[in-house]
Amino acid sequence: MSAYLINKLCHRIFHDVPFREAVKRDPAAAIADWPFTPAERKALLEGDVKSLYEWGGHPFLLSHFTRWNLFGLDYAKYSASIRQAKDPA
Amino acid sequence: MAELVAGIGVPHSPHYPAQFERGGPQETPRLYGEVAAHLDAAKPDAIVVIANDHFNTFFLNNFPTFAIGVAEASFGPNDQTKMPRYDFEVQTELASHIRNFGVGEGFDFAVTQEFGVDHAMLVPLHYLTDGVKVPVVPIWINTFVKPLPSARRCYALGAMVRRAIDSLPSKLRVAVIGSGSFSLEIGGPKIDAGKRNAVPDIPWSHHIQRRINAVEIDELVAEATPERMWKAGNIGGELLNWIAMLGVVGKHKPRIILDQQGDGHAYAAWRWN
Repeated sequence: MSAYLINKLCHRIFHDVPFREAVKRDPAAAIADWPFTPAERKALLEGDVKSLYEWGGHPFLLSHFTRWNLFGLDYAKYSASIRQAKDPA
Repeated sequence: MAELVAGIGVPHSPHYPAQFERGGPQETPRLYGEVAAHLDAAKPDAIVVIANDHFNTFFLNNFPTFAIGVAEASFGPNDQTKMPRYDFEVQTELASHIRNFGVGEGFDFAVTQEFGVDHAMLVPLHYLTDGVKVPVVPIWINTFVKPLPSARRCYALGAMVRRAIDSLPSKLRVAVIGSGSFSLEIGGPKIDAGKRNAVPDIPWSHHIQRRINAVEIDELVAEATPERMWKAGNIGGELLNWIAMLGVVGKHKPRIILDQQGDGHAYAAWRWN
């Protein structure tokens, strides 16, 4: 798993407005060129922040998704998922 | 010779400026105001701000444990915080002196010569100063990407900054601000259902405030382990910004230390005449 790539995606979304707009319009297409594993890509597109966190996604960065409801994540869905997560080793 | 004239500890929530006007009647601006009165009375010529970056000045491609900004000027916020934009001076002579002095004492700062700063520095400066007209020296500590520096190392860093200030030949009145929360979770498993954050450990925040008020700094430094701070939330490491500030201030009782009820943070001020 590439925690760095997950975090890099969050960071890019936060600071790069055209990229953020692309993720809003078509999440799968916007991240198509990013070399995620199939499991990471699936977790991102399903808004599975529990898994992303357990693989090393930084919580401050992951929670940026809720600012624009990206990957279907509003506060309710985000918190329901992340509250199930265990801290990575 | 330069001298330390004030020490300040405050939180830096990025939501405050949009919610509470500077000088407004609500609790938050009132608490900042009580601390600001001490900073004003100290009449600083320079303000050292110790805070953590939130992936805005730095990112994981190059994330420093300790960094200092040595430039002519800076700006912010660089993180979309809803607040006025400030362009402000950096106190280059003091910043450069702290960098050189620190490296001489074995504190190998990362140095940035072109940078913006995020809410962690500008929310305090917004509420505590009149438009950030006093030149600033920014010092960053990594308080939320594991592994964090130890509390002992952060206290020693602060003590070194104090010796650097005391050894600057220029006549300069210097204040130090340390900024952060004692208990706060953002985006992690301890958040409240339906929210983005939570305050998991208010008793720890109260305990820290009692330690600071009783000048039990060695005890606080010993207790502030990574595990203990993490228990108070994934932002709990921001205590290290306060501990570094306490290292600058030395072992003195604060003039004031004010709890913000329901939050895991406080407002404190030290001042010398």
